Amino acid sequence: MLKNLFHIRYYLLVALLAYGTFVWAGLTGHRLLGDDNESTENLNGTGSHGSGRHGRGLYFHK
Amino acid sequence: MREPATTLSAQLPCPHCRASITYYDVQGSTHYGCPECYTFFKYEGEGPAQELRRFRDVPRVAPALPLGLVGTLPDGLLYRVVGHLLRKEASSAARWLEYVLFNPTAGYAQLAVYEGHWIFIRPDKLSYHVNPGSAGSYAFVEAEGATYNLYNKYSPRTLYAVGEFDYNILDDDKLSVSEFIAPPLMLVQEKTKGQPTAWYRAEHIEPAAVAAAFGVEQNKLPYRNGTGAIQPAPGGAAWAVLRPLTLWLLLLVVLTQAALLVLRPERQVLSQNFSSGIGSTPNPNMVVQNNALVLVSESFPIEGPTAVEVELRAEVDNSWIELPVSMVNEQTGQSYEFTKSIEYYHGYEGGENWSEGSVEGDAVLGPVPSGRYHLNVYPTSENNRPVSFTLRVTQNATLTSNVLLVLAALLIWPGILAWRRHAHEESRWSQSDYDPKQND
Repeated sequence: MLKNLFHIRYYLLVALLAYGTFVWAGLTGHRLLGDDNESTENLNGTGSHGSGRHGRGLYFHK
Repeated sequence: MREPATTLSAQLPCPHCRASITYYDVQGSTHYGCPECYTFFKYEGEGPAQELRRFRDVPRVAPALPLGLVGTLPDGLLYRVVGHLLRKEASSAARWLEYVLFNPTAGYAQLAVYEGHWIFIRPDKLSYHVNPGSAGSYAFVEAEGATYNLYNKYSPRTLYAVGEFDYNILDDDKLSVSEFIAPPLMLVQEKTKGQPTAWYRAEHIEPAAVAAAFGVEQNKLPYRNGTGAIQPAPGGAAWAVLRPLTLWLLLLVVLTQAALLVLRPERQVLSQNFSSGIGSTPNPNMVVQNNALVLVSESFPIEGPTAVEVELRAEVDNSWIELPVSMVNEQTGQSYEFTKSIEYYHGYEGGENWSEGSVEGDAVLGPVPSGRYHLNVYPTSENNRPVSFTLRVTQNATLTSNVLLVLAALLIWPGILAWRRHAHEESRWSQSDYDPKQND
């Protein structure tokens, strides 16, 4: 069995990596293809704290 | 076990051109082909040699393994090349070359090469039962847990023979040969009227192995063309373990996703209705900032890190609304932003109903850390007409694309290999009149 697995060692490595990434993404809420967030600001934002429009420029694109 | 390919040899003159012919099976050889004038004759040690035929169909390219060459074959024995045969099928133009091999202990064997594909053939002491097949299948042989399917039937014709032979190889023209394959193995059945059926066992041998066995350069061997009758499909030993392993991995991914759904179930944390216009009734969620309308949702908790899905449904009817949304962490100010345009048009034209667009949209944000959040929405609608819409926020959103992505990643190589193996088999059987699939 181990000898047979040796024939596909690279596939096994990639498969385990893919599976590990999948589990990590599932546990941490990462969408592997990227999420829909368009924000480019850093933590704490670029705007003021408080209610209303935190760190968001007034852009209305269409 | 390595045994000598024999150091014994003797010479005899060709009865036609008097060229000296070296032979190695001093006790057994009875028929000879002269490499100078291509006369085939019989000489049994006594009396004059008897000329049987003079071959005219001489190969244009000299055989890659010259007479007298010694090499170790897959059975671990040393063999000497003692004869060359060029043959064809009686009913087709297919030609192949046979190298007759001799080991003084093991006897005779053969290397046959057709279109650059080599097989190593030895006599088989066993006899096999041929299942004649039925209306839905061709004949086959069950042996050692494998099914050998009929691949070819023919009667050989000898076009050229040089070297030594322990029987009259011209008699082979009376043979009826059936080849049964279970790649990389083949069973060959030879039948002659009034003679017991003989069986031979053949195995595929790579050109590189032939070159290494006889110490010749591989580029001197004939170029390989197409797919060999018993050439193993790509993947070989890997495929046997890859297929079940892939199925297990796919199952593992599905089970893991099911476990994630149980351990981190989806939970709706906000569902709120809004109207995009100022309207006649007061809107407590509405804030006007910098002359722009901002709708602010209720505050909601997120237990992260998690993927958050925001679903939008707008009551648009032959109109559109654009919804830039900002999800703001009330402790840190970190925001997640996206914009969705929702439009839905429908009508009746040319006797048919038509529609385009949708009243729904969604966005996935993540990973989102724990905290309290609210949504800011900056709606714009057609002619600033008030449009009602609903926002729903769900944490632990199911990331279906992750599942599909990892399944695709796991299937890439097995998929390519499966396709190559399928193409290989198609190519193999396209050269046979007995393709099992054609008889279904």
